[in-house]
Amino acid sequence: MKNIFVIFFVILSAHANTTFADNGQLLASQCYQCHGPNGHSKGEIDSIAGKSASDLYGDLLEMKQKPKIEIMHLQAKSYTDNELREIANYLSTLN
Amino acid sequence: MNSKRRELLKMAGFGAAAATVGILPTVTDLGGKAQAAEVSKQVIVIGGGFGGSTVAKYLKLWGQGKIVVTHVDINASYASPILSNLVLNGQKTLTNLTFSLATAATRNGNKFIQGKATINRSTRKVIVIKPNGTTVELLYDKVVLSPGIEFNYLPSMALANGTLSDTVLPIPHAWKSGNQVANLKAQINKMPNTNGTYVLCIPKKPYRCPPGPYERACVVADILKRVKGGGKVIIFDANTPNTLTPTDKYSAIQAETHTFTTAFTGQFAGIVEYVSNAELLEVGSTGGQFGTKYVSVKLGDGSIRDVYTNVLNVLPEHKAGDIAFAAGLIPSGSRFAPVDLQSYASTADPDIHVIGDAHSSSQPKAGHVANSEAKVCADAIVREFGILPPRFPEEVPVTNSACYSPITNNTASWLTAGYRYNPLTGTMDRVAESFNEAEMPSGDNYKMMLAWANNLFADTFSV
Repeated sequence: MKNIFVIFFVILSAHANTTFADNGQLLASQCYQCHGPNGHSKGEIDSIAGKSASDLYGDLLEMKQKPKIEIMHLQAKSYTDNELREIANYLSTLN
Repeated sequence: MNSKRRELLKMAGFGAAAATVGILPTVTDLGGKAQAAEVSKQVIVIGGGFGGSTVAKYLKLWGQGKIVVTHVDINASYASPILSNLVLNGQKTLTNLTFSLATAATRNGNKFIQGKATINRSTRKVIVIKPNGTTVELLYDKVVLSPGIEFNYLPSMALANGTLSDTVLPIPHAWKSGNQVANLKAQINKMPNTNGTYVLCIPKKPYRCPPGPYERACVVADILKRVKGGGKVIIFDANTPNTLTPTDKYSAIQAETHTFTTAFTGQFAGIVEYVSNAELLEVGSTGGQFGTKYVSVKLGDGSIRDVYTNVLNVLPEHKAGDIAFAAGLIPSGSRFAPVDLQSYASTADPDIHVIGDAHSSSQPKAGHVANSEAKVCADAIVREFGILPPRFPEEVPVTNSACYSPITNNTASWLTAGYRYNPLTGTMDRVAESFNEAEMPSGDNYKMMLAWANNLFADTFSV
């Protein structure tokens, strides 16, 4: 019984010491080629770091749904709605 | 995603992943000091281009201090082929497009070693011979190989160029940027006014940067039109028309077919001659860098066409960089390395990952895409090391391709596509709805091209 408790404690400790990233970290990083490292753009392309998750998600969903021939309208169509939400959530956490 | 399930699986997944690589102490080893977090993994990244530079950065960034990244390249800096066509028309210099690998490594907390690398898979070592002749041996847990491309030269091209340096050889490819681009620029500058000829030979796919050759043809045609008062651009494309439109030669164009067909037949009509299904047979030169060049091609109807030209720009057949062959990662008869596209692990060795132009998949060979693949690879390695939990099956890799192509000195077009991993086939499939090209070249696109490249360079080379 004691051993089981200790095992449980160790697993919990490992969990507490580890930052579990969502798939959002990887998905959002695929925006940086155009929008700059960590979503901070150097030039005319929009910065996307630290914006409201609901605004970002709303924008991405709208672009996914509209048939416009623009890069972001096309790119948004590569992702599931859930993935777009994960991207928006992750980007909203960046400073 | 069921969040409860996610949390539970995360808990379970962490241990499972760690167990597979043996970096967590076993649960019976409770009194030991060893902790997963304290064991550093050694990753050697070979190649300083878009793939290698990105993966080195993100392994460190996502590795939570548990990965030691050593970045190796034969050169101290990397000259970007992206935007290099703007060197030809003087809007960029090679210096603008050259990035220090040591500076990037320092910024990212990585180590950079300049030298020629070889991989010994049996001893699990990378051996680097530095420029001063000294040798370094590096033990690895993982190698990420991003060696880019090498070429299969026609014997006549190898003979014509001989041992001349990239700066002065007569028949450049200028497809890796650097000195051959400076050479091509010098040759174009020396073309006579009004009646000079530039010939571009495009190899069969797959080759690096599908729109790139057509973009180059447009930039050169624009120079001839604006600066030289005329001239000729002849494109010999080894690719064949789309089987659905066999009589439309322009359907052989490998990317942005609408954009380039419109440019070749519209604003560059009278300058550009586009020839599809042109198999390169032989090249030659007399008079060196600025002398006369010769090219012979076999056309689709079986006839032979010979052309004498001021400038001959030949893109030879592509293959993976030499180190991928030397490491035994390319099957006999193939030119690129097969990988598991969830992690880019070589099918020949799960601890050697191959990203970028040297691997084999349906994703285009291009710097932006290599950056995208590098992130998928870094994420997979971090998870395999147990630093992050494994991905769920539905969390498939998604990559993207986006690029801008200059058409003139103040207009550009673009091309984009997304790719998703297909678990049934093991392939990265293009998402049909995500794939398109700009409706027409524009000045706005030209500005966005520079903004895109600046962000891509910043993300990749930490500038």
